[in-house]
Amino acid sequence: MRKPRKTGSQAKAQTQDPDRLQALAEGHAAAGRYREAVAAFKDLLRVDDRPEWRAALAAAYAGRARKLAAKGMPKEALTVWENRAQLAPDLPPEPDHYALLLRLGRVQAVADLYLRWVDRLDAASLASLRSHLASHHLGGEAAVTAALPADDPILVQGPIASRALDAYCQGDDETLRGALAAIPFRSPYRDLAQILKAMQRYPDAAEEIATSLARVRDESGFATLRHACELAVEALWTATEALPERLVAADETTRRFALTLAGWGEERQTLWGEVRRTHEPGSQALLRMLHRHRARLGEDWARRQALRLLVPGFPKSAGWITQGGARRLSEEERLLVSAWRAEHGADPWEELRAWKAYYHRLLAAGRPEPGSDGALSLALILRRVESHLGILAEVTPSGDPMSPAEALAEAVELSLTHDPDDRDGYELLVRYYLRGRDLKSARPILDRGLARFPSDAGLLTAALDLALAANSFKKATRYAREILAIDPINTGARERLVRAHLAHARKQIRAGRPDLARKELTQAAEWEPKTGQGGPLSERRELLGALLDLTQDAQRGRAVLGDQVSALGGGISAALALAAECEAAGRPVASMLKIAGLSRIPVPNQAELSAFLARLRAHLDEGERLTPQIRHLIEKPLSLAARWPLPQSECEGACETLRRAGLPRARKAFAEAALKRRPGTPVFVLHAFEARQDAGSRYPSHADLDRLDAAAERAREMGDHRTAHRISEILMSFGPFDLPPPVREWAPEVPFDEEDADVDLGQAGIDPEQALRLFIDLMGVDRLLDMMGLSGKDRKQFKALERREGRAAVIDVLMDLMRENLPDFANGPLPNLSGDPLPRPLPAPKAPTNGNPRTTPIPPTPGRTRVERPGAGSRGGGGTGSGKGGGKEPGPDDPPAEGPDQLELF
Amino acid sequence: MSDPYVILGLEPEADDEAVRGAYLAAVAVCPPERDPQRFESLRAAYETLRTRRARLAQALFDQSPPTLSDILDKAEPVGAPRRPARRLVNTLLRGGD
Repeated sequence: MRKPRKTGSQAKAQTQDPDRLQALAEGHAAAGRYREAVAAFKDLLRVDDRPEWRAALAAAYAGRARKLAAKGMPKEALTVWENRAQLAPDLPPEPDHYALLLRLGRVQAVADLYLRWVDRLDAASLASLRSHLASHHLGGEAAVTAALPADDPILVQGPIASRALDAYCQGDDETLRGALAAIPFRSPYRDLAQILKAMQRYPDAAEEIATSLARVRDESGFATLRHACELAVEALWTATEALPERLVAADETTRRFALTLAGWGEERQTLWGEVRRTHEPGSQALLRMLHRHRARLGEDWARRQALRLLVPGFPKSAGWITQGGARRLSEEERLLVSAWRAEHGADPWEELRAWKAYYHRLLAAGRPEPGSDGALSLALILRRVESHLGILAEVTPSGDPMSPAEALAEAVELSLTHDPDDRDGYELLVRYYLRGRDLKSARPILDRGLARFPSDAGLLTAALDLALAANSFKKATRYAREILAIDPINTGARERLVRAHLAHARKQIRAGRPDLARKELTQAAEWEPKTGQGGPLSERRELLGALLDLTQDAQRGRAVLGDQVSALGGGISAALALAAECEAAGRPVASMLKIAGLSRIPVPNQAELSAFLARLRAHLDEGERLTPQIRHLIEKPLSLAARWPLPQSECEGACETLRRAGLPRARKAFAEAALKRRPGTPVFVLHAFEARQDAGSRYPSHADLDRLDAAAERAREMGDHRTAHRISEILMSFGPFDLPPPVREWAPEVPFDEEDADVDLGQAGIDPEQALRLFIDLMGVDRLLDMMGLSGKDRKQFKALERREGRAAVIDVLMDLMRENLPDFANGPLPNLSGDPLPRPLPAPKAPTNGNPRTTPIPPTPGRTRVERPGAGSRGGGGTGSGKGGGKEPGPDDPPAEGPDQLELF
Repeated sequence: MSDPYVILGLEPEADDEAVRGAYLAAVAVCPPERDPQRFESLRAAYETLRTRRARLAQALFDQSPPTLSDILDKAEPVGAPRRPARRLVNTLLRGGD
């Protein structure tokens, strides 16, 4: 007889060292590789049938069975469990084993196990096995009743547990409590009692419920019920939108149980399940859902929601609606969705266009009755862009055609014809026009508003402001009185009224009517808010009174003025207050200061300086500005006061206030003094630089820019991002490539092609004049004057102009000169401004020789200077630059040019 | 989106009085100290629908797309917690689906 061939594993088992094989098997088991562990332990048992290896194989079987069950292979798992039972019949059954048996409907097998083991299991294992059978018995599994003896506790205590469960489901808590009390502690239904007792309190006391549920072990036959209850408790802590996602992993019954407890009705659960089944929760699935259930949801509601779903992808998404089965978009719907879509962009013009198109579409259907929903809707549509963007509430009318403000104002005004009861619309428009001092536009709107809302404090306040802006002081007083009659504690109106009287008093002083001015001052005193007495308004009133006294009784006036100046603390603070009042009342500042003993303003001490800066800040906060005369008066003593060692924060505040006041020299003095005390402090480097520039400094040097750069870096390190940002912006403005930003607003978008590389600035959408202005500004007027080779006298004139009118004015003059003298200046290439010095003026060239306009020298103009263009050599052309088409290169046969190519500046 | 009409349980033709009544009733059930988040949504819904102009503006300009939750709320809002039927519990006791 032939000897049977050994299998590979048998052969391996016989050849391998058992110790190594055991280590291998245990390694597999520890790593959860149960299939390999089973094979290895089997090999070991072939070598030697040791009890510990048999137990280890049984454990590996259990691990493998659980793994298969988790993979959704219950039958395969059960086979492995049975292998385990055969291998080790003395091992007690595992809960997962009998749970699987029950799941597969093998109730009898579990009952057999139970009867076989009932006397041998430890308490915990027996309770677990019993609870599984009890759970199925309670769930209506008839096989349990048939399989167990009648006196088994599972059957004996079943009815009371069933009564408790019925009572719970019916909400009969009293019966439930009674039934629960009748279930013994060691009952197979103990876990059920625990669950029902906890869930009786649902939805209150969620945390206590969760704690009670956690006491039911995973091995319990009631663990499935416990899990469903836990999900229902979680629902109490989860937003409704997120709730179903947490339930996705649960089976249908568990989900229904939890959702029902959480208050979800049948229809809601069914709808949700419908969408879940499509696995497509996107817009198109929702569109289909809306259409399918439109009768339940309401036709109009479903349609409106459908339109909203189209917005992000519109107009491409317009087709989705028909794909979902609904009718196609009407023209009106299309315009509405377009308007919604336009709001996603950043273009107010596009929004205006889209909403106006919708407005006109609705209007075409017929003008609705005033006051009807239709009329209100039209008004709301016209106001939509303003209410969405809030432009009119912020801006000042500028006449800028690029600004949508004017169009928005027109739309809001038109909206008032449909909805004349929109009080806010009147106020918005009046305030907008008031900011631009367009009183003519503001007045009729205000009149219409006041006709509708005669007692509206907001509109009356706007009327007061309008009257003040128009210098109609009597009218302003009347409005202020009306406001105070409605709202007696309206401090704002009182202050406005006092200001109105003071302004009127100044007007009367200027008009030479001291009697009337005095009357106004008396009224101002009467209306002064109690809280404001001694404040800036009374100061002003008293100063005005002193000025009036001076006109009527010089001696008394001097004495009163002296008292007032003393009351103001004398010095620079008093000088500012008095000078400001003199300017406003048309009184000579210098002589009044002289009378007040302030013809020479002393350098303030530290306390006086702090008080003055506070006063100046308040002055600016009220919207007042310093006249050049006042600035001239205070700047020197203020600059000298920079030596006082102010704390850093106060010094920063001082620099900022001086910036706002337009006092660059004083600001520079404070910034530089601060830098001496605290070298390199970024914010003072910034102030010093800006102040130098504002004071008319030349183009900054590399050292200046390097200092700024270092300061920006330090500011970033210190976390002072505001200063770092401000410095970065300055550095960018002085960058070598700082051209105006791309002009998308008006330049058509043209795809780039190679020819674009040669396009000059003008063709690229950048205004050559603007670019040239920028170049001159960057290089500095001095340098340009140097390049022009002007005489000292001419240079002095330009410098005087710059001091008097500012740099922009000088650049304007230079630009005008170029415009006059450079034929292609307006639309041609830029003149040479590369920084190369231009040669000295030369005599005018002779008359043209070849008639070619591009090569014809500019005829000389008497009194103008002709400047030779550098590098022009023998090139012809009267153009001003080297851009393409700027003139042809002369050929060898061309006649020689009569003179150098020249640029005529003066 | 969270449709303010659904939040307050109102019909589309509700007027000022109905809106106010629904808001006060909802706040009485769910005061801010019990559920601040819910109260905030009630308050926001009330402000959105408080006046006739506000309701018209909501209809014209609210373009926020509905979520599944919004559609479910419209079909059948979440109600008070309910005890499950015995047959559902029985299925769970037998191990679920």
